[in-house]
Amino acid sequence: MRPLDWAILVTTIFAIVAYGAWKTRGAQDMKSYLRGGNELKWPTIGLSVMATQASAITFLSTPGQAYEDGMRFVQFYFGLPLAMIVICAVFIPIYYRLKVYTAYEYLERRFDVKVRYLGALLFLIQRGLAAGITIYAPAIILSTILGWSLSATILGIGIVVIIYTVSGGTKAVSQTQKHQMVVMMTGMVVAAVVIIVNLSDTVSLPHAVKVAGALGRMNVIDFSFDLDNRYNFWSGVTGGFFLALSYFGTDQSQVQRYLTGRSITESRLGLLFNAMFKIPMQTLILFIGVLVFVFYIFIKPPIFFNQPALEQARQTAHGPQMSALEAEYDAAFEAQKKAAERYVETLESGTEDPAAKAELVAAAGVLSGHRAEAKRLVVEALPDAETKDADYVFVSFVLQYLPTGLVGLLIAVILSAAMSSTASELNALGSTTTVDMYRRGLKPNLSDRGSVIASKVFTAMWGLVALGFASFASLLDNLIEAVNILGSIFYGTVLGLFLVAFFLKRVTGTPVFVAALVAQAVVVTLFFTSSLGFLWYNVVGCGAVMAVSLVLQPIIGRADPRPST
Amino acid sequence: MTEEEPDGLLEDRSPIFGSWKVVYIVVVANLLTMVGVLYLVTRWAS
Repeated sequence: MRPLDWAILVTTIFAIVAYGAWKTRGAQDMKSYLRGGNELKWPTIGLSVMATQASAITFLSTPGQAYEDGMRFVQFYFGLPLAMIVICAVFIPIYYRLKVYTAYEYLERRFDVKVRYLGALLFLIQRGLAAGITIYAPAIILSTILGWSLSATILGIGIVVIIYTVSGGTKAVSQTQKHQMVVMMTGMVVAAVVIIVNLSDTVSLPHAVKVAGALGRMNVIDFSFDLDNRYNFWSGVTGGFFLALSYFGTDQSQVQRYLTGRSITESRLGLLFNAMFKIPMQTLILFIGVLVFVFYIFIKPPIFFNQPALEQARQTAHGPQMSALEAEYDAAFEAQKKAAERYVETLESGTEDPAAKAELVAAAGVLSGHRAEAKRLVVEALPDAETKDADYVFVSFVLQYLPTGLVGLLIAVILSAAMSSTASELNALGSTTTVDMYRRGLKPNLSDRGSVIASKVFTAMWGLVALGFASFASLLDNLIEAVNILGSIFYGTVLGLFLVAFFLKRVTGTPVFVAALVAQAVVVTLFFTSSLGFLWYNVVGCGAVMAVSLVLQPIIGRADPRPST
Repeated sequence: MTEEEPDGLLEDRSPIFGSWKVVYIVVVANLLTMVGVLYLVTRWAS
């Protein structure tokens, strides 16, 4: 990075944080600290909800995923608009009517305190673990590729977030997210334009899309029904719907964002903004990955994108084998480039030649075989190295091929994303610990001012837990994947609790509590014994809570007090 | 929820279409349009 990049990076990050802190200065009570004083309008809510979901990994991994696997991941979001409609129609009016600070308060009003504790506890476990990973995942990639210290990167991201989240509360989080989201989208649109301009010397945009399609990267929609296929239209609409319903409707890090609305209308419009624009945003990010893929058909990409790891592997006993492989890789790249040029010529002449297309597909197969072999060699040479190469595709492209200034902007995009999602998580963890655990269980007569102080202390404590977890994350293998799966294991059960609360009016606390424990055991068993795609866990967990609670209601629910809504 | 609260938080009118049902239909139509366009792109590019 050059001085201009550093200037843009530092100015962008600190200007946003300083603005957020300045906007939220002054005395605070519980309503202003935890619900932003109910002053926010829908554009701020909409961007804040979007920024909470978009973590740094969204911008680092998603283009790399499209590079490796094509655009089919976008189908994961097809259930989101439908979930937003249900949340607007059912969830939001109830949260507003009861004037809750957290989603789990509602569970006690509807059932009893043990169900509230269960919902809050499941949230604290999954989100507490995820907060550390939200910081660690981008830090390990940026520190590797930029040569920064891993500890300094983790501390740099974490401390800034803790300071403004603790001092300004929910409103500071939302105000900073609004500007962070603008930076993120500006950065990605500019990156897309620069790549298209760079490509235009070699291939037009329509022909670039055809080349990507020939090599399986434009696999956006897949209507085939397969339960083991992680991303197709059906799993996206069904599993994605339940996941989005659970995440946006019951996860406090999102609920807290739209409870800041000036009115129920502002909250609904904020969520519907996401319903309209989330899919286009993800499509753009994935399409950038496809454009990078086409760019690297004509400009030789590294055999392994995590360059420092590749360099280390070259120094081991596997070095000579790697050198021989790289020579073969160079030849295979030239063959693929020539095949691609021939295919583009046939496209330009207006008569697409199936033989040229088949030749390109065959050449690409050889090249990807060499890349797979290189990855195997790196894993053998460096068993502890980060070998998920797709995460490094976009950031290494940015550093090598984008102009000075834009590099700083895109690193700011990644850091902004890390900070915005971490801020929401810490804010929600602090609120839930205060409202659902500390004030409910230990200090029921806590004053308004005492509650604000407790929220600040718990937010800071969760920030330190996240920092500690991020610092030790590198000691554990496959931690990121484990935490992601852990999240999807819990979401279905939590959603089940809320859907029973909303729609099964005669079910009481004890049956739904036992049903949630049973459903959780079923999902955990499925995780260990089946190959079911993880999106389906949400459907199974939610369905099990609803079905089992209905069965148990006449058996163990009679002694419960009559439910209220 | 149509109940009015003193602080106005439960004000419940769609600012553009008058009815939220119409807004929800627009959101679903937007989703179907996006799926349709992406499907056509998939077919054209493959």
